[in-house]
Amino acid sequence: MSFVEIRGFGKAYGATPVFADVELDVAEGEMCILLGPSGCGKTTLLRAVAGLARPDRGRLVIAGRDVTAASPEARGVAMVFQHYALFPNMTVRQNLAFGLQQKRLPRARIAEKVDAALALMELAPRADARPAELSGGQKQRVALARALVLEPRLLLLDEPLSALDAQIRKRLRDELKRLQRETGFTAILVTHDQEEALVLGDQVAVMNAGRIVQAGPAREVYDRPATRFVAGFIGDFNLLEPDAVRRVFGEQADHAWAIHPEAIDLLPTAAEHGGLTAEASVIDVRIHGPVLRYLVSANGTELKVDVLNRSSIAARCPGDTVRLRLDRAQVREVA
Amino acid sequence: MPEPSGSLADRLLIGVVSLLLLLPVLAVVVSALATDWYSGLVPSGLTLQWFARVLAEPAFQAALARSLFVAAGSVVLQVLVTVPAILVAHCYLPWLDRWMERLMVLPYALPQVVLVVGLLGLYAGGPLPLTGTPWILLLGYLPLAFPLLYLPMKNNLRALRVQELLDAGHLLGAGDLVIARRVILPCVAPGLAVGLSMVFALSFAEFVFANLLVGGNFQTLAVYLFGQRTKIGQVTAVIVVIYFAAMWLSTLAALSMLRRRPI
Ligand SMILES: Nc1ncnc2c1ncn2[C@@H]1O[C@H](COP(=O)(O)OP(=O)(O)OP(=O)(O)O)[C@@H](O)[C@H]1O
Ligand SMILES: [Mg+2]
Repeated sequence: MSFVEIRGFGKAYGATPVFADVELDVAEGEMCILLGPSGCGKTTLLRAVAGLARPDRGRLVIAGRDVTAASPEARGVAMVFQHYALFPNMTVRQNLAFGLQQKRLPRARIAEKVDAALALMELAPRADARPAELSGGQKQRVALARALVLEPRLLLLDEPLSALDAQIRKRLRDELKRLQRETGFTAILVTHDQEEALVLGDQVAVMNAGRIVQAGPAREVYDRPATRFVAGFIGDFNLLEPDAVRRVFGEQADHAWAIHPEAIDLLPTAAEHGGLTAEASVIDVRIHGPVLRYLVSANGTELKVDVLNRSSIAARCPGDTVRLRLDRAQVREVA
Repeated sequence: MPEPSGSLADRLLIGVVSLLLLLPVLAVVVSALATDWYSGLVPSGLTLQWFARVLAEPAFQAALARSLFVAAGSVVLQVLVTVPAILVAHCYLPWLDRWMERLMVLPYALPQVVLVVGLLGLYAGGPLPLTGTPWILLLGYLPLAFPLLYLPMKNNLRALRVQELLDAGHLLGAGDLVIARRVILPCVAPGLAVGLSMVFALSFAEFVFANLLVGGNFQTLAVYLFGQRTKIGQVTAVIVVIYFAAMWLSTLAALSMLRRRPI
């Protein structure tokens, strides 16, 4: 039995369904990522888990207790909102203390817990600032601290990093992972950033149009996309229809092929090889930090190919002719 | 107030405009202090005797007390009725909020006499016979004062993501009332302070309703002033100065409330 069990969740606003038949299991101490395009119902699903929106159908169990009808504060759930939702009239310290005060904890106990949370999130120097005086990353940390200080059984995070610029985003992402390792909280995190999903997720659930189309360990979702949509959304696949497969590799295929850009090798034309091969010409090269991304054209079909950016490898230029090599085992057939 | 900009022409313009705006006020103040000011550019002497005389007048004292009562009562009524109504409409009933926005100017679009006739009809008999009592004034000022509170409060409310604040509060274990008291109200305090000081000023100085709805039964300062208009000029000047002082004090009170709660 999982720590969080979502069974047959469904919700509609009027005639338009927002999500339907959602089934999701999250193990204790696991970080589950909800990944999906804008408007697919991620926020609404999260709000339903928190008890802020009532699902029309379905059951929710947290820590062995059916909380489908429980009020938000009775679920032991905390949430970090997309726009932080900090109380603008209160200082950082007051924001963190608010939830503990509602629990009627003794004053000294509250101060103790707040101080610990401030220290954990490295917010102590800004403890008496108001949200308007904080940077985006600091606000984000306050929102996280306000949620964690209640020691929730389940932490919900709605695109916690999306409002931040790339640098801080990466740093906070690592910090979040570290916090989870240290405190061991169970979390469901919403994002539409596939890299974030893969880095943070123990489990990744891909959503589309109100349904979970695939859920599983991050590695598995990345390696074995179940549908064309997942392949398109995660990992930047090359998607080849059966007739393109025939033209490029001369193979007969029943379904479309999804091929990771890093699964294809670029070889000199004369090299020895096994596996599937094709002639191609380089259209473009881009440096993506540690990898070089080639755009090549093989028999009229464009393919993305990633190669490790090592100085020992001579870069090829647009117009060069190359040989593509592909291990048949790297190919995923998607319906 | 915007910073006066560097250019000499700008400063000159601001100086002239300020002078034009201040001149009548100064004239009234000087007039209230003048021994007499029938001929010449300046009065022949200054005295506090008019102040002493007006302040000692029992009819004046009673009118001042009545006006203060109406102004304070109006503020209390707005806090009890209008403020919760605006908050509830903003947080839970967007359709009502839209109607409030549309209908708010109505009391200003109609001639005041029409409103007076309507109010007299409404409160003549029925469940609330209030004609001739000060209560009809308080209720009459309710719609007049509504936009004075609505506009500045909405300004503050629009800057908040109220739904998210409510959600966040609920998850932290607070009910709507606790969130309203500890988060939403403090956040709209600046607008509330401005609105209430305007409500105070309006109810303190309003004449048409006061004269036509209660008139002689409950003579407010404005009605008393109107009665004094044919008497000595310095007396009316003194009353007007007292008006200014009251407005100024209520504005100061509002501003100090703003300073106390920086957001
Ligand atoms: N209160 C509501 N009333 C009506 N429709 C709603 C309401 N809330 C959300 N929706 C609709 O439900 C759908 C899903 O919204 P939701 O906010 O859950 O999307 P999301 O996946 O979080 O998107 P994003 O990534 O942009 O935040 C949208 O089409 C939205 O228009
Ligand atoms: Mg969302």
